[in-house]
Amino acid sequence: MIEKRIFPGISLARRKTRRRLVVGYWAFVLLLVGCASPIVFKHPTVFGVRAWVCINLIVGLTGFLGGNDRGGAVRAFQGRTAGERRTPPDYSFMTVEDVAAKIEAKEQAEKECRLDERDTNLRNAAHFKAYVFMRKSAFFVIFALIALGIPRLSRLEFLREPLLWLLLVVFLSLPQTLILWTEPDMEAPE
Amino acid sequence: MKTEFDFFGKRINIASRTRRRWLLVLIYAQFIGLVIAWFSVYGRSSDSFLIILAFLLLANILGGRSYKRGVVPPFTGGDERERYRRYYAHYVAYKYWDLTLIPALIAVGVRSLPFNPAWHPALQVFLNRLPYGLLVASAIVYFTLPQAVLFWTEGDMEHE
Repeated sequence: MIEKRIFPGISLARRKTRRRLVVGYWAFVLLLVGCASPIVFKHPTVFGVRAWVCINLIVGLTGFLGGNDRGGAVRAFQGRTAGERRTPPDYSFMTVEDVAAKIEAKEQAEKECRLDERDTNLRNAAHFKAYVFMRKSAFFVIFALIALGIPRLSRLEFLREPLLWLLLVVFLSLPQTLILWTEPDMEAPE
Repeated sequence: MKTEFDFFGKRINIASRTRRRWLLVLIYAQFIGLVIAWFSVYGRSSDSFLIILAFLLLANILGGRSYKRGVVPPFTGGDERERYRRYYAHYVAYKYWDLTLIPALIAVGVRSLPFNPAWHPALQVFLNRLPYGLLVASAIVYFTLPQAVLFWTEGDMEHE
């Protein structure tokens, strides 16, 4: 379920390394979201670009943990490559050697993406735990967001967007975090 | 999964998948009605309270979570098959729920832009309330989607 090595060559075989990575990731996200409200409140633009456009990049960070697609610390949850969902590609304009290489690369990618029964159960259980946690915390966040729309609380309205973004980032990263945190040590990559 | 639905003392057979799906469609139609009602009474706390009560009643009918009387059994206990199905339903729900936040985020973005004074006042009120209406809809979907997935995907059962 977990990639053994991620960019820039960090081995994820040891649980300790993964936990450090997870702690670093969340510290960074919280720092960004925590800074977001005062920055946006005082400086609506950063170098001429709307501040929220910059802060929206936080969501892009979630790709680092993987899960939603290939390339992150956790393998893609859907267990298949993006190409498998599309119609078969047209190889008619390519040479036989190129087609063979392409098919081999495609099969290799598909093999790397496959999830076995253990991986599937682990993925589903992580989503269940994340959902239960989110259900408890999201309840308060969503009602806080609704409450911020009340005229009496209009002074705190600037908190609305950071809260919404934090909720989204936690939602997008929590199953991956649980998997990275709980999986035992693996064999070291060659 | 229950094979009968108790509707004010009248027992309705929901052993077949088609019947269950119809029941689910009806429940969600009422959820949509509640969101529209919330949208219309926005700011009037007494009416909002009634809407929340109606939502809790509907959620109780659907079951899941810790509701014991709903058509979907509570999310605790059960055999291995039930546990795996529950986990899978949560995975599916988790995968798709964030899509409901996208309209809310867009609505928040639109609301933060200055409105053109030439726009009709009703449109301005609509745009002002839209993020909250969509957030409420999103919350309802969040609290009910795993149950809905379980209810929708379970095959035909034998009626006891």
